[in-house]
Amino acid sequence: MTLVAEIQFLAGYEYLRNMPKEAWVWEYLRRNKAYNKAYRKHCRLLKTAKTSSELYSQKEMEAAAKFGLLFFR
Amino acid sequence: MGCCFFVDPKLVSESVVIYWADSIKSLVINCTTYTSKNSAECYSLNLATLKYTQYSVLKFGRKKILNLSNELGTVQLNFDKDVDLNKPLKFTISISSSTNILKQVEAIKKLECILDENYKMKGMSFVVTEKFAKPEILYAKDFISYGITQEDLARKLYGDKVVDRRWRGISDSLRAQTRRLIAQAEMFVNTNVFDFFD
Repeated sequence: MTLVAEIQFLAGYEYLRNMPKEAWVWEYLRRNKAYNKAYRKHCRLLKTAKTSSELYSQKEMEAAAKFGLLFFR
Repeated sequence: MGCCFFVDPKLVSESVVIYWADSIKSLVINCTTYTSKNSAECYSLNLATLKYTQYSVLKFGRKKILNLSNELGTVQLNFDKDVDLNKPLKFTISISSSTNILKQVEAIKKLECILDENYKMKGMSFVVTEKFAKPEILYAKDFISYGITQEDLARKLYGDKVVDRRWRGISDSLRAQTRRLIAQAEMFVNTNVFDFFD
């Protein structure tokens, strides 16, 4: 499959027309390099962390808050 | 406390429940449960009666967070304690900061519409009119991220006939239009989240 074929057609984005503002914000945020970098860092930390202490969670929350998020699931 | 504070950026908005930080005042409302009998000034919530509203509940430490959303949008209720949302409850709202009072009012209005569910009859509708709410902007971003040319993007957006006729013509308008779309995509992707809600 070519790269072009892998990209959805514009019609695949049309559902967004009926989505609320916050959905649009997420769509932009998830394409943001800084957010992607923070997410990857978060994943690395999760892999290496032996325990999930309150302090560690607080750090994660602070990092997420920079992007206006409590967190996602 | 949970262990996951970020979500995979690969997930599209249709498939994620977003929990917002307190600082997004137009979405997050701090709520206090109300147990007194004198509850005339309180909001009533009974999830069982909300037919058109999706909700998601999260236990967060000693608190509970309720995310309500329907076609009008989303509000996030941060309750002061671990309330039982399977039962009807009454609560009051606290306005935390005077600097964001209008944003808080916006969230409260949305909450009232969501709880009422009669907003359709009242002629309220949900349309996002902001400049960033255009699918073609996101499409342009994704397309160009793959390293595919602006001309190919234009072909996808405007069709082969238009591009054949205008892309290499004297007028720069189609090329400029395409470049503008890409520039907008870059700008919105790099916009601070808080600015979207201002």
